[in-house]
Amino acid sequence: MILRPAIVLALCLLAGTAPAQIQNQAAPGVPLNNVHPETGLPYWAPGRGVVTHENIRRRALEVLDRQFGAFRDATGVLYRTAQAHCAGDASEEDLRTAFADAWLAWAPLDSYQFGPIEQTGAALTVNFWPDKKGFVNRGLRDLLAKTPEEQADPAVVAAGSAAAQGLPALEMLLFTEAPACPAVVGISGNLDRLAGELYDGWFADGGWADLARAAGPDNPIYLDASEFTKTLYTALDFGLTRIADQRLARPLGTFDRPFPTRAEAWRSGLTEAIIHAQLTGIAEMIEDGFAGDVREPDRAWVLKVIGQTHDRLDQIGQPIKDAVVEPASRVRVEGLQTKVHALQLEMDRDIGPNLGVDTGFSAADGD
Amino acid sequence: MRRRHFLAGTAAILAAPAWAEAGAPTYLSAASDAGNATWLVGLTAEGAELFRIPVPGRGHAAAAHPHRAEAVAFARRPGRFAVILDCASGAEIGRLDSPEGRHFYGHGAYTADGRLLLTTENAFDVPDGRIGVWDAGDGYKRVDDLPSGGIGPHEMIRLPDGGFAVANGGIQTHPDFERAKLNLPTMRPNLTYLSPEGAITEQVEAPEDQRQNSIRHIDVDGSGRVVAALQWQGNPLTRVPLLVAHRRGEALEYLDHPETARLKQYAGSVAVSADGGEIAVTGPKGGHVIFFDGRTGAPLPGRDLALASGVARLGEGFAVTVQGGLALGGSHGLRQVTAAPDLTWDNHLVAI
Repeated sequence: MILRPAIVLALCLLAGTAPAQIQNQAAPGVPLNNVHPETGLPYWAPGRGVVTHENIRRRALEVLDRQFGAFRDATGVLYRTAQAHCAGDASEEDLRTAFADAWLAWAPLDSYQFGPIEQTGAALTVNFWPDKKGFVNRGLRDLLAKTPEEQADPAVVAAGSAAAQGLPALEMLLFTEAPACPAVVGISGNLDRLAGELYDGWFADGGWADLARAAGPDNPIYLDASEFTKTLYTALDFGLTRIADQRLARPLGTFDRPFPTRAEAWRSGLTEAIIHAQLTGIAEMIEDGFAGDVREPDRAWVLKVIGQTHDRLDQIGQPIKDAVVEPASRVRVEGLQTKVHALQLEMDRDIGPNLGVDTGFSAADGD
Repeated sequence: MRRRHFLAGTAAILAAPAWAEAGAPTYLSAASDAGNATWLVGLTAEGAELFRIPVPGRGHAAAAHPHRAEAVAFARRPGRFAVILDCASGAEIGRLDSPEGRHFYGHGAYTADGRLLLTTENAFDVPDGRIGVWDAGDGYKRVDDLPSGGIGPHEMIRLPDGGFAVANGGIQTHPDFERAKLNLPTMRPNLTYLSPEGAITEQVEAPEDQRQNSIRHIDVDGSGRVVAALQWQGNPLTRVPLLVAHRRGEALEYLDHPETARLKQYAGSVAVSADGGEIAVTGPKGGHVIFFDGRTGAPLPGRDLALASGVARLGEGFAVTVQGGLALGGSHGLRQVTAAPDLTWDNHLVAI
């Protein structure tokens, strides 16, 4: 952690962009004083018209390192807390807190459904949602029918139903009458292993980060660095789709028929915090990852709209599962959904074209 | 009721124009223009454009009726619609709407008599691969629903004996996750054969080391041997073959090629030449096409071909969709002809 600024600086120097001596290329002679306080990187002047995808990649990988690292750390705490709880050394409250932290650390990763998440099948194993056919209950019933030793064994959990391996299964154990111990130990242990696998899938030698860094004509995935930028941009857009079309649309249902219990994580009351965390993850990638390679006014504008989206979420003032039922509060949830869709349009207009990623289609898209 | 349906069906068949009335196209392909308007295009073997009919969204492939000048243009996965087009008049005859909880995969095939259309479908909440059955003689009413024999049925084709081959790609997807692949660690593709009536008659699964090599696009030679183009979903740095051949009753035969790596782990389409002498596999991501001897499976020299996507037989060689037209020929050489240069092809070339 202490080393990070030094590494950033070293990389900047390597890339020939020492933060202190940035030239304003769009307006030579005019001082460039809007430098990001954390990364030390400049917000490039408007109209520079040059996007350096290698720099985006370097910064974006730092953001991903942080985000995937946070999930790995949170599942580690969760596993240890589950073991302590079932040994009588940690309270249920401690366990619920560790559970909430793990889910909120997963929330930003929900946007990145490519690379290691696809390779490990983590989308379903970490968060089997929506669960339209009650697979989580069924999977848990099978797990709870096993011996206590088996339930506490992460390997047994890993070999069972994907629906009983993730956060919704833990929620069921922690927020219903189901006996939490010892199954919470097995499930959180497996989740911890998977989180480690995801992190290593990105950042171990020969991982996805190396693959992205090796972009070029011989790379099987990224023919040049801009393709990684495009993948990230598409991922952020997908994250917003997940919020608007799943996290909000599912409980909203229709005016005549809302579905409160289709809200994600309604039992634990994490529905709203998950949306906040996903939005925050998206903002991090734009601010620290895309950073100065997006024109400052556009980037500031989109970040402002994300801030407004957070505010709209707070203004609902009650759990989404309750708000969708009453017309007076329902409109606030609908308003939030409209805001997220508007945010997608802003991204489309201000961020995508700025990055120079071609979001049009090509015969090479394949299927 | 039954009688009326029968009469209506007969009348439709009698009234429908034959392919000659649509200019006797050799090929169909979906395409889009610079303004992102989307089309189904009919081409001659030399690339002359015979018709261009608007379709409501980005297309993937099409199925041509065996007699009538009628085609179904399928939406790109996870599309919910397929459009039935009268290729003689350019009129839209109707639209297939996938049932609740289903989407199309973008491919389908008619029965040999042209009475039924079969479509590959994803029952995404189950999850299960299904084949939808639609009555082409009765306004394309949905009449049945059959198991595809695996997860992720992608292309299905009619075989010379009137049965069908289905490429169950093995990849589980769900529209809630857009195009993300959800089961890569546990996927296992297979090739499934159906009788002319749609009953599963044979299945052959990928072996353990090829479990993540999705079987997606297929063609068949005159002897009934099926070839499939593969898309590798495992570690992108692993070297794997991208073509597999299969003869009924035998094991899958994976065919490697020294230029396979140029396809970037992704074979787009596959075709066997009319005489069975050569097999072409396109690599739209790598901008390269590779060829194989159709009889021995031996590799033949490939060619760089930017955006080479769709491929279909053309005599002893092939037609390949490329930017600006078609490339015609085979391993001995390709010549490019201009066809609808304002369009981008998407993704398959369907021989009529």
